[in-house]
Amino acid sequence: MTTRLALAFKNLGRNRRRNLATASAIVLGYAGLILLGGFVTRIEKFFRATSVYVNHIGSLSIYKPEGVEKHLLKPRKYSLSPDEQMKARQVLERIFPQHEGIGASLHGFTLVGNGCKTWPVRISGLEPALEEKLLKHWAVEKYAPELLNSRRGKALWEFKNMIPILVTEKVARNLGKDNLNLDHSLPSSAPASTTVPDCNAADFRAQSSNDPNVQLAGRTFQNNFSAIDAEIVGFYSSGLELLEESAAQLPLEALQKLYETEAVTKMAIYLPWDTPVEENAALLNSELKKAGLDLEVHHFKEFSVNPFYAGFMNLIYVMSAFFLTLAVCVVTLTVSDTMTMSVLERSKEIGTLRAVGFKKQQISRMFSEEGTLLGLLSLPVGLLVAWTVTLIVNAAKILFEVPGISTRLEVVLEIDPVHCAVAGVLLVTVTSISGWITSVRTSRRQIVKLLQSHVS
Amino acid sequence: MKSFKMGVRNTLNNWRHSLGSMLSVAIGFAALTLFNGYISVVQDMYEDNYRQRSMFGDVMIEKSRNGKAIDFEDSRINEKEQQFIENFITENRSLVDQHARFLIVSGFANNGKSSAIYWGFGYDLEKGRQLRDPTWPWNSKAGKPLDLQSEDAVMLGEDIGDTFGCVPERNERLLTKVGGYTAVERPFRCERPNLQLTVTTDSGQVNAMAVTIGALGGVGLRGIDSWYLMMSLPKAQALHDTRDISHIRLRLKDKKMFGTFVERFNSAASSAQLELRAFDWREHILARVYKRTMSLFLIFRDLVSAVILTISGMSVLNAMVKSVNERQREIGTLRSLGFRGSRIISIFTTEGVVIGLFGSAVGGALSVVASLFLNRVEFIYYAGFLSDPVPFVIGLVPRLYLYSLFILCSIAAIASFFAARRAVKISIPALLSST
Repeated sequence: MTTRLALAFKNLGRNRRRNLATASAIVLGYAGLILLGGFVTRIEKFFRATSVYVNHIGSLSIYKPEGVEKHLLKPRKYSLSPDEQMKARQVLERIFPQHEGIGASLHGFTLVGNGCKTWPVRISGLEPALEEKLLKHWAVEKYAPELLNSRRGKALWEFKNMIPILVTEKVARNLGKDNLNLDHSLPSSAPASTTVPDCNAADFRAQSSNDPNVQLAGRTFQNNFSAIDAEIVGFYSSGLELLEESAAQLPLEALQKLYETEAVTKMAIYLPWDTPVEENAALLNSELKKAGLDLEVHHFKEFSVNPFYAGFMNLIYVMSAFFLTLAVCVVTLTVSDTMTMSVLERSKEIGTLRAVGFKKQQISRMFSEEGTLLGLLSLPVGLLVAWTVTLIVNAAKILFEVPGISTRLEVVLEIDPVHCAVAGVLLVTVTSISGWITSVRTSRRQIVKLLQSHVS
Repeated sequence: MKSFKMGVRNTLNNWRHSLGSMLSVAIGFAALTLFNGYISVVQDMYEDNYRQRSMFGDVMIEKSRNGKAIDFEDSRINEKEQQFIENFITENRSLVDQHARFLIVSGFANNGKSSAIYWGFGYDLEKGRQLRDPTWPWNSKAGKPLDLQSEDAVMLGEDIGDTFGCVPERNERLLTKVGGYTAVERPFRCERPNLQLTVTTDSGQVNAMAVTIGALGGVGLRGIDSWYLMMSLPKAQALHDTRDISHIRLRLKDKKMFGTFVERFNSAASSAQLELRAFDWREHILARVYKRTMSLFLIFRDLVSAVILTISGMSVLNAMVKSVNERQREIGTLRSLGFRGSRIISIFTTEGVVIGLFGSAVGGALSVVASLFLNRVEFIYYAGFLSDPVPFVIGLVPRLYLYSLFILCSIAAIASFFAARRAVKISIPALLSST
């Protein structure tokens, strides 16, 4: 084994220029795959942090059966009752003691008004304490800082004695509230009285733009009309362009008050970042059934709960898989090409080895090891190239626009050790097989013919 | 021509070495055309979705302020301005194929049991259908297109339809191979067939209108279909209590006349002292998803092309250096007979071009076979924002084949040039005595 390896190593040195060119093809292929992987990883992590933590999809979420599709159609029927919430929470606590947070949320539509003009919004009722934990999660700070930077004003958890509401900047603009002084300290309790504005007054716009008070109106779960007052305490971004037109958040309790219910649309659990969600969703599903709860479990990669993540990543994965296939084919052929030339040139040598007693398999193995060695020697260089490019790109702070995302993202390439290992194993296997295949045919020829052969 | 013949002869005489280079070119060519062919099909799908299905056409006309774009939701083209545009279009019939007026509608929809936010357009139904021709005249997944229904009907995006309990009777894949849906009325059922739409008008007044859910369809873009609603322009105007429109979309008879049309219109509007602006729909904020998706594809395409071309280039250079090295005696003989270095380099460069041509032909054949095979397999997947699952298709685009041919022949020629240039610098005795 050691002798063969030493031989393979020496042989590589014999045709340095050619092997260098082949090695550079492997280096480039490897670096290309790592960089593409780094780009895809960056996008995936941004989407994951955005959807799981910022948009409260959670690692796993629990709905009523068909609740994902129908909770807006029949909120009363497709929401989780307080009893179901309590039991589900117990199951979650029991089987996922390592969780980072468990929370309930309520989703629906409501009209937000400034006293004279109303604007429809998709509203989410959130648990303020959990919201604080999620927005301070390391993954959000690391992978989606753009969304945190786009927030203005204060957060929901900072207010106890009033109903705070966060709206997107577009909603604020449509209500004439986009110039609110959000950094000015807001009262921590609701104003003692609110005055009815004169919509036809000349200074209405100016007055309204300084007033954080808005009215929320909607239908309760019993289909009655209901309304509450709230104070705009900040502007936020969901990260999704489509929601920027009409989205708002307020404490869960306040939204439950508006809808006159104690139910919630879903419960979500936040598991540690790299926890596999598919298996855990299946586990949770069976545990809920055992606990006698007829509920449905979804994980964040599912189309039904996270169509944006699933659809976009699907496209990216298809393109990457296609690229991977093509890159591997190109590298395989390049290596085979070099190996073929090498084997043809060394027909006499193969004949001599056969004549002194080397078996055909031994010769094929030697060439295979040459290929393996070439691949192995190229990988660190490829890694170095990828690492250098990553450093340059990351230092350049390039911004790019992702379809459907409301903020521009910084191109931060991240070298993923798993990607490196997989791509490395793949390329070394390819070079090894190429060396083996190209030598098999030649080593099968008669020794005499091999010894007589010359390179054309 | 003589050099070319010599190049062909040399390639055939040294077929074993040429084979290596040719293979490298062939695989590079196939990889390049396959990946770009795939990207071009996805780009076409998105373009078709916007230009035809969503009726963007080629040009949009919107209000402007000091010649610059304003927030599209604030754009209101009044009757006088509409008349001006109509007159301009009539005068320029030779340029304009179809056009339709659009008014943005948004508000709250309620069926008595559940409510949802809607956002969409009221538009000239018949003219809109003409804008969707020839691929998307039938744009409904269930029910009939609005132009075949009464004015009270609205079309809901599939996802907002879900919110109101409207689902097609059958769940089937509808997208045909050439795009568009087959013109068949597919049944659907709704919890309640009517909706009440409310809007806040520009003056702050709340208006309401009862409509019938006539079809499920939308624009085929995930996310947008969870809000999307389409209705007739007169109904939308009545709902908003206005005669204004938001913008006009036009399809030109010849896309190449885009510049002429835009220039003529903008100068006519400016002469008439009207704050109107004609522009490419791709510049509109509504086309932002399209634009960003296209730039993402370009990033991928460039990265992949760079990697493939560099690997292929290295491989060709490798093979050519070997080929030249083994023919040093031949080069020495030519030099001793009086051939100049530049002449020898040109012979090898031509040989490189010939290898590039042969390699590209092989790669082209490989690419066509692989494309036909993969297109036959019809692997179905979701392509980003497109809400309909689409087949994995690789386009056979002649332009891409020509472009790849040019690039790879150039690489082969450059590789041969550098390989030969090194050899001709060696002295004649050294060349002749080489083994």
